[in-house]
Amino acid sequence: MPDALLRDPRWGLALAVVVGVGLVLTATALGLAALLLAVRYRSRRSERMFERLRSTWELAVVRIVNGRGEARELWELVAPNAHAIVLPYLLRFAERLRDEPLERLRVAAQPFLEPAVQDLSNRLPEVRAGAVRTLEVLGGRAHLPALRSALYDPAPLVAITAAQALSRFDDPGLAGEIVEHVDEWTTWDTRFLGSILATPQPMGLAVLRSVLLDPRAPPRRVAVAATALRLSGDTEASGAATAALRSGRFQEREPIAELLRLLAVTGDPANAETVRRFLGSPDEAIRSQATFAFGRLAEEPCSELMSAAGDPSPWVALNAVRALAHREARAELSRLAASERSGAPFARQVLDREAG
Amino acid sequence: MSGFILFFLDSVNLLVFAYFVALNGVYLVVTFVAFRALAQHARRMQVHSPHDVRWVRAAPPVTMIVPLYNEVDGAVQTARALLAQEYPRFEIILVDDGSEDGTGEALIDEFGFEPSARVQTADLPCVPVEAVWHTPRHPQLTLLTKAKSGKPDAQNAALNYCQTPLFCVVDGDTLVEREGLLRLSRPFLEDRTNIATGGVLRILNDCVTDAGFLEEVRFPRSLLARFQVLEYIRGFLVGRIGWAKLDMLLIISGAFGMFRREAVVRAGGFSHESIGEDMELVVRLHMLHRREKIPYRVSFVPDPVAWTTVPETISMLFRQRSRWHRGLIQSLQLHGEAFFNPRYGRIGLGAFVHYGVLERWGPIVEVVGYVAFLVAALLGRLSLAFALAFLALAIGFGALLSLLALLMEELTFRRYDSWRDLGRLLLVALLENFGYRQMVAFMRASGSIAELRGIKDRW
Repeated sequence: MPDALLRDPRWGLALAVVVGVGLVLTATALGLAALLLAVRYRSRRSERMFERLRSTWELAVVRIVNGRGEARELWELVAPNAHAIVLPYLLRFAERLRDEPLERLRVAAQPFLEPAVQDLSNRLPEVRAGAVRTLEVLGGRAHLPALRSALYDPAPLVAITAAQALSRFDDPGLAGEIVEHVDEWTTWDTRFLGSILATPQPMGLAVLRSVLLDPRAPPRRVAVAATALRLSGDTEASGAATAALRSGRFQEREPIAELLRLLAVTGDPANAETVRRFLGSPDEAIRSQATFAFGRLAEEPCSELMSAAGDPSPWVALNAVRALAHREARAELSRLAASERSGAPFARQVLDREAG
Repeated sequence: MSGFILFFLDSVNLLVFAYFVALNGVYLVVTFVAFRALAQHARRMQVHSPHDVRWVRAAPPVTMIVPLYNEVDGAVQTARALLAQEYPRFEIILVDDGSEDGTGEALIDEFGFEPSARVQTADLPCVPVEAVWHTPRHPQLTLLTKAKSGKPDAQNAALNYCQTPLFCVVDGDTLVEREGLLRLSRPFLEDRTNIATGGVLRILNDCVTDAGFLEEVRFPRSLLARFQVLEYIRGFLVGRIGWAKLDMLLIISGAFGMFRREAVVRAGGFSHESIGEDMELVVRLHMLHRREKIPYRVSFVPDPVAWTTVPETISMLFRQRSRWHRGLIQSLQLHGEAFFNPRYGRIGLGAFVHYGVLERWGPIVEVVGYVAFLVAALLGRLSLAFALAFLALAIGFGALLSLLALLMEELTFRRYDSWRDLGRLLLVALLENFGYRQMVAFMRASGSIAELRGIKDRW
């Protein structure tokens, strides 16, 4: 029977195809195995080479960072074909430094930055973003124009990395440019964007406050600016936040909630009335933030907080009792905890944690 | 009659061949997609360290949910290790699901738990919690004790007490890397629509650990575990990354995955109707968001984030694989309306077709194929040359996919660093085609049959 099959040209063809494909696959598999071994060998060799180079550079770098050596010491040790290798090494070193040691390392790194500059035009966005990061850490102000251009990169990863880099410079023009790009980064988390923009720099903070006051600023931009101000701990932001809330121009949850969170951190009793208006908001998230902010700001908030502790939303109730705890209103909390009211479990939780 | 039998035999062999081509064709496509995704991820990780202060500052609070049943030997260690996570704000809810070996008592003694109160933020269906415990020594730690009712129920119970925007399910015997939460939370920062993220699971067998932390990665001694190392590399590093890149990821491992609390609560929490509650939840999330046209994303992080112990005996492996396959079948059946339904986009037209046809029926087709192959050879219906050639093709393809996975591992994480381990992995890539794969296919086919017969499974 099998021979009969084989004499049939269709089966013969099928056999030939199967054999052929099988041989190709087997050869490919063998080739892959060989490639694996080659990759491992190459990686090991690169690691050994890097270790050798690192050990020659390390002493010079430490001396430079400590102010006991000159940049030239490192320049003499790094061969021209090793610039691309020394850069990641210096970058990892620099990430742990601040102030003067970082500046000294930056001076030493200048001749090696050319690969990073070239990478700014690489076709891969991750490579471009890596170059931005390198120039941010090791390049400093000297590469500001390149970093500024990267802010307009079509890839969000590159633009956001550039925004992170530029936010370190105290330049109102830069801060304004970064803030305008926020509208393009629609998928990124608000808190993360706020974290990028958060800054101790006075001019940067002024720009963020101006966003809150700008009637044309889109809601998301306001939300990000408010988050950035809160994370920056800007004590002068309460005026702008209050004005933005009073303007009544926001319908969206996000900017209102973030402005309330900002006031909770930076506001004072004079802002409590502004916050009070949101205690009855139909939106749970707004009510929750308003409750917490009111609890922090108002001079006598206990009755409102006790009422909020019975809110059908657990988040509102939780924030209410947390605000009571923050005010050390133990008597009110204990009464609530002992009662049959809906807020009792919340009070019990907070008291339990506090007791611990 | 004999003509009919021969015709039937030929048809079966043709069907098996077609299935083989289809399945491996899909695997090949997914592998190449995963290759690109992994390369992109590797480049991306060089831009931002997980410890970048701006990422860390923005990281949202997370609750780790750890269901426990009879884990007295490891529960304390697991809890201690989780407390040491490098993450700015997190809580841990341990759920003692009616353990009979003193797991709850051990935790209470070790951490000084006291009866306490905690607010419920949701009302997902579950057996009521008997007691809530809190310890002043570790404010982040909460213990729930309840009657035994299964893992999904325990997870729902914990979810009812979750007060953070994100939560993470962790198995009691899973070892989470210190940066695990940082890495897993990143997709939620990059995309506000992200509702779930899975991470790579690696094999802990014979690795050196100390107080719940991984000290040294070692290749397992057991041959069965070695086969599973390769399987996990293929499955996680290639399969899950590829499917996630194609926006068709249906599974996030219940051993370690992060979810947006609000999305899961809205979807109804973990289901009691499937023993594969982890897959069923992800499928349900897909369905809900597509039906209601809510933008969403289910993602996967290629970094190794957690380590787990795998079976080293055939009987335990049998039970696990049978159970996994039944979970797959149940999850697909519960949401059968998505099958080939354009309303569900690539989930219905892509993922469900692949899992519903190739993965679900594949083991049975495979086992039947082996039998038919043998019968055909015995009856002289199959030429020896053809049989050997087909065998070589099957082995070659299987080895090819495994080697591609190993190449990806070698170019990225390379957790098995010694030459000896690489040699062992290469050997395993060849050997698994001579018995191990066939055995696993049989195990999964048994799961199919058990599911058809409605045999109940346990925790």
